[in-house]
Amino acid sequence: MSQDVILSLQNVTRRYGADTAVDRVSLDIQRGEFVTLLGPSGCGKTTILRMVAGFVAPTEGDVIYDGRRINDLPPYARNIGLVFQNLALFPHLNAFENVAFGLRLAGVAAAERHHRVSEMLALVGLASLGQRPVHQLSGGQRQRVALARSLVTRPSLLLLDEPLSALDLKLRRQLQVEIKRIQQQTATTFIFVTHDQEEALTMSDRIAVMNRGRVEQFAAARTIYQRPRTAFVAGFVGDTNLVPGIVTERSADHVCIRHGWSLMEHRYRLHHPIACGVGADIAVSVRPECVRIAAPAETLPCRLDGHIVQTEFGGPLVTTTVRAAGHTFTVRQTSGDPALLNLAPGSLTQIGWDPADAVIVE
Amino acid sequence: MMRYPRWSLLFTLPAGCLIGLFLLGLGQLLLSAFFVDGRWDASLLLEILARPDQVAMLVRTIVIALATTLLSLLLGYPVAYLIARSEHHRNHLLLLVILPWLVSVVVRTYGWMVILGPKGLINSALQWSGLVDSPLPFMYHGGTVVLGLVHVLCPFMILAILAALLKVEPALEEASMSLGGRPFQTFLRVLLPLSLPGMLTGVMLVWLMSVGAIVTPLMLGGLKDTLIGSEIFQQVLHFFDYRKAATFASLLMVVAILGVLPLQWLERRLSLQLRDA
Repeated sequence: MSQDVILSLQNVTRRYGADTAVDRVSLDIQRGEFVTLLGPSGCGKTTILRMVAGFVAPTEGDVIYDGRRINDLPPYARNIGLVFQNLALFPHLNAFENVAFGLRLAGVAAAERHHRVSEMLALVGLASLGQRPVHQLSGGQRQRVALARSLVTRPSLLLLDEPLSALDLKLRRQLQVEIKRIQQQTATTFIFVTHDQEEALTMSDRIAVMNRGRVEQFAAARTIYQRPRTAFVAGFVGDTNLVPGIVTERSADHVCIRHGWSLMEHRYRLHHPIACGVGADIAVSVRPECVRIAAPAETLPCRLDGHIVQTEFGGPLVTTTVRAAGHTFTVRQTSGDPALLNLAPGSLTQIGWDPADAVIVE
Repeated sequence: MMRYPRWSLLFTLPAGCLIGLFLLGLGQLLLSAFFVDGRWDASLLLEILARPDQVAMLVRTIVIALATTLLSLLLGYPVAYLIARSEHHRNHLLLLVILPWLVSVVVRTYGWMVILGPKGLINSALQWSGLVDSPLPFMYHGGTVVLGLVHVLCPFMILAILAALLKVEPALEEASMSLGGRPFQTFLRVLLPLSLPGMLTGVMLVWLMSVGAIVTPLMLGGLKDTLIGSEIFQQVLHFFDYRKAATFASLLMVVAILGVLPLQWLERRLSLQLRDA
């Protein structure tokens, strides 16, 4: 383990009665990293955040922060910042006083407090709005106050619980960039919780994709997208085609798979140590943009015939749904692609992909 | 804002009637206290204020009402907090608070006599165990009156504070804690300011009801050390001195209002500040 690990979850489990909200999760987070916990609602990501913050105690396992086991440390003794989903700004204080709250508790002298709060308000772009009561601020401004409030005490770890979910798309995009900038400027470790895969991909250094209380994959954003380990990850982060097949041959880093529609075997690389013997059923994940359609598909090793169900024009990209060999495939090409001409619904076509672009998933 | 047609003003009629009735009664009260033989006469009031025993009674009333209010606040706040933060049993707990209202004040106060009287529960137990030879004089004591009043009036305090605490999201306390706020600091800087309007409402209610209380002071305090409420009761029903009763009642009104006005002003200011919270 690297010595720059700031937070380490070791086999952390949280049960509520018979329900297991978090199931044996182990994560090591490096100092200065931007990590996102991504998953559908109810997957346990918020519970993990609350365990790190100290509001929920793990049923089993350890939370190690800065080399220290903090399972039993109360929230106020942790110096871990938290930005709440509903922001939880103090309604009886104005923006400046909200930000100053933590410093006041810590007994920081008035002059320094004033200096640090002003500095922090400037960092989040609210220098002139300090005296505004919270209820007179816009959604984006409140967001910035919440961020400033939790960063002013200089925590080495900041947790953010879906802080952007209440904002409209444009403001969201703007604040994503802003949060990323502030994270780099303050050199603070951020753990960001979201169910929005696009948000996760654009902001994070690493993403932990969660499902049913477990971490399915913890890797860099690019790896998560290009080399998903499980079918869930492949489907949750971006769109994918999961194509079933049977293992016919297996080596250390390759498998040969026969798909149901032909007798041909295709050789796929194994990116993850997946337990699958000869004869096992397995799924291959092929991203829609890796599937070729019509003429370009004819030269590909793995191809099959089908007919067009519908095409959907989405500006730069065109999404085509193809029914082939009993499966429904989603194909996505740039709208200038000449192969897309003459693809009327019902017409016959051919689709195909290069096994090098596909990933075997669990 | 929605605009109402002019005829909808008719709906204010019932409220107007009630207010008129109240004002009529108030006028009647002041007239019978200060209007003798066709001219203004405040001599009885001055007479009362010049008598040390009457002034002592007034002071006693204020002290007992203050003690009742303060004790209700101290006891009621934790109960209100507990109810506000218990998600699953909130309604059950609330029921427990309201349940005593199903029993009349007289019966509830009589309960205290059964417990505290010379042959009551506590004294019998003490004598039986041989700890004391003669019964302890719990009854007819200012402290006992406060006890009885707190018992009767505390639910009002609890409900008033509860209403304010329910509007304070638990996340605010967590936010304070994540910023380093220990439980007491969090209480002082977040919970207290945000629940202050509810506390003020509760204090006003309990103050008004305890300063004019009749039944409980009469039953637990006896006739020797009367309070203004029980004094008015006696003047009306035993001595038929309506003028004196009305003078006392006017005094009571002044005392009550003097307590409430600053609180009301404070509450209005606070709720303006928190209106969008």
